[in-house]
Amino acid sequence: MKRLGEALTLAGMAGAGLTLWLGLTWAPSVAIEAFESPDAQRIFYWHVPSAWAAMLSFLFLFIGSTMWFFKRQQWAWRLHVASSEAGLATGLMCVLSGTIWGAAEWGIPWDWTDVRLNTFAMLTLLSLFLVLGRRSQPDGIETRDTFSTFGMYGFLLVPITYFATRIWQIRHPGPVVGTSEGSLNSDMGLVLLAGAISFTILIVGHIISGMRLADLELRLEDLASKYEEVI
Amino acid sequence: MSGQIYLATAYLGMISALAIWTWTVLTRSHSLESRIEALEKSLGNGEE
Amino acid sequence: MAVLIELEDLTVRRGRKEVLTGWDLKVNNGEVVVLIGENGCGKSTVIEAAAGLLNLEKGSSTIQNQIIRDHQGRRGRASFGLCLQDDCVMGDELVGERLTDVAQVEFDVKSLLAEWNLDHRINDKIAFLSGGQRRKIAVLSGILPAMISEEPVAILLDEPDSGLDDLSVDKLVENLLNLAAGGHGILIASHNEKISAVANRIITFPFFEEKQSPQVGNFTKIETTTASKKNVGSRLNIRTMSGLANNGIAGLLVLGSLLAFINPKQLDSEMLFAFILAPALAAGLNGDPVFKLLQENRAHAWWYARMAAPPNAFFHVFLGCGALTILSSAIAGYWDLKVILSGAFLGAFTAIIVAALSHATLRLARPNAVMLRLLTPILILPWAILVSRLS
Repeated sequence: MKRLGEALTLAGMAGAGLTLWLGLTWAPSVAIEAFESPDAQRIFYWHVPSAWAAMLSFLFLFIGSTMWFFKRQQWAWRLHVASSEAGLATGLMCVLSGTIWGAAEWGIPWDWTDVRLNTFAMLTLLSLFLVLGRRSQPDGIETRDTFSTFGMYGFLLVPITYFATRIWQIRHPGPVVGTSEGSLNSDMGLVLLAGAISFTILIVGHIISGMRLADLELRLEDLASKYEEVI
Repeated sequence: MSGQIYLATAYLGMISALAIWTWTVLTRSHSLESRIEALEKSLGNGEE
Repeated sequence: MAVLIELEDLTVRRGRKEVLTGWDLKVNNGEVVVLIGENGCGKSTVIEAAAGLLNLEKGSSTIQNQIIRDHQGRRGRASFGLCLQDDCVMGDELVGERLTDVAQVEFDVKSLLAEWNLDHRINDKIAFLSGGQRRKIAVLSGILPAMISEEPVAILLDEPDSGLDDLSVDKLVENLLNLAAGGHGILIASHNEKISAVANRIITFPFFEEKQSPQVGNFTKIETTTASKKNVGSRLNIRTMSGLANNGIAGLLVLGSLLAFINPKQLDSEMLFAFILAPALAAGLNGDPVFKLLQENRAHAWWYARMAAPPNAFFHVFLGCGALTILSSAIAGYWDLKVILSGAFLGAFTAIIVAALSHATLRLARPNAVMLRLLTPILILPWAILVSRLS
């Protein structure tokens, strides 16, 4: 399991590196009339895959939270722990790249009236809350149940975030992949696909490693209690 | 600021975030493994 | 013999331990059942699980034929007496008023307090009582529902004698005998020998039961008059001015800060509505003004066992946010009832969400260590959407 997690993470990072290189050197430039900042548009090749990875993380967070809360599965709690950290990391990457691109393209880094921006930031803050909150509490049923509840309810934001640009076109652009309204050049689509696959592998690798980490932490606690009993 | 500077800032930020995150996961994993090994050794000696 | 308290196959985890596993217990009417055992064996867990305060891994708790809680998450409420290890009283409640709130009817509070040497403190705040006196109020809160009822009532008491002097313990014991004689069923966790002496059954943890035949008491129901369902949250909020001190000040500070740099009369429509509604948002972000009061002595636990929604002052928040919006409208020179109502509803809605988040973390070992404020930025969204709709 250790090897699988690390192998997938490294493979994902290699893929992300390839995406970065392709995005910078191979992907076609966009029309100057279509974008305020055509150069900054290349952030797209990381911004979108990191958003996709974040959505995956939040999905795993929901699965882990639900399976722990209702079925008391130990693996599910480890999945909650790992995916909350993954959601935080990828959420921050998406928000960071998005605000920089927003500053370049829209002239402002943020728009408080845009539903997608704010619900996505909210999901990221939820992940931060879960990660920090869990570290402030002793492990136990109360901690796990409370944070799993937040993980489950927070998932309500995911479909809102996903459909936000289909329902409300406030500032964040609508979908460009898989819709008739979107216009994505095939080469751009290829780089984007490479990014999506890389980030998927990366996030799965990180979550497997994270679950193993959570398992190690629990084992350490158990051993420490046993040690205290012996001495 | 030109578009290229925004692009560079975004890429550097993303790469750093990814690198730091991966590094912390790996080092935490190694640190935990060595602590567990040490405790298991002590418990093993204690039982003898 | 009717079963008043039934705990079936109770399995409860606390922290990392399974404290109770497949525990069964029935308490019939007219019975006093005492749980004894060393510290940490699970006595308090039984009482709290029976009261519906803990999640159950398996099994159920039924009181007076009403499922209080089961492992599937079903919950119900019954009118039973409860006294936990924590006193569960808010410092700003008045002694006499607390007992009337527990009973939910008017009765001769002074005479009851006189029996416990507390009649002279009837109009005092509970915060000004000594620890022992406060404990007496907590115990009375536990046994009062039975004292005013001819119908059998279940009573759950967790270490009621803790902090009581000998005379008060004797008084408690006398009451337990009398209540049992009146057909009420009592489950007590206690180390005290005087309390064990009046038990019909003593259960020593994990599960060794011995029966005994204590003396029989004499029950006289306390006469009651009219029903008295007061809004505890509103009363406390008015008395403590917690809403003004927390929510009100936050709203006024935001208004003042904005006025330091902005001339509202020169704002365009979107900025104008943002200015007018900002104080209500700030006030709402402080949540329920009564929530902080409920954290004293774990008062929230007692109220949760009694009712689905503990005391709150959301209506006051609604009014207060409406007032703040009127103030900001007056300063901006823009009057619209729709805007004022929007401010009131926005503030109340925001406060309700913040309160719900706060209540959700109360089960944690260290609820104050959790950074709940990280989740509140989402509440800017309704404000922003409202502003853009109004303009």
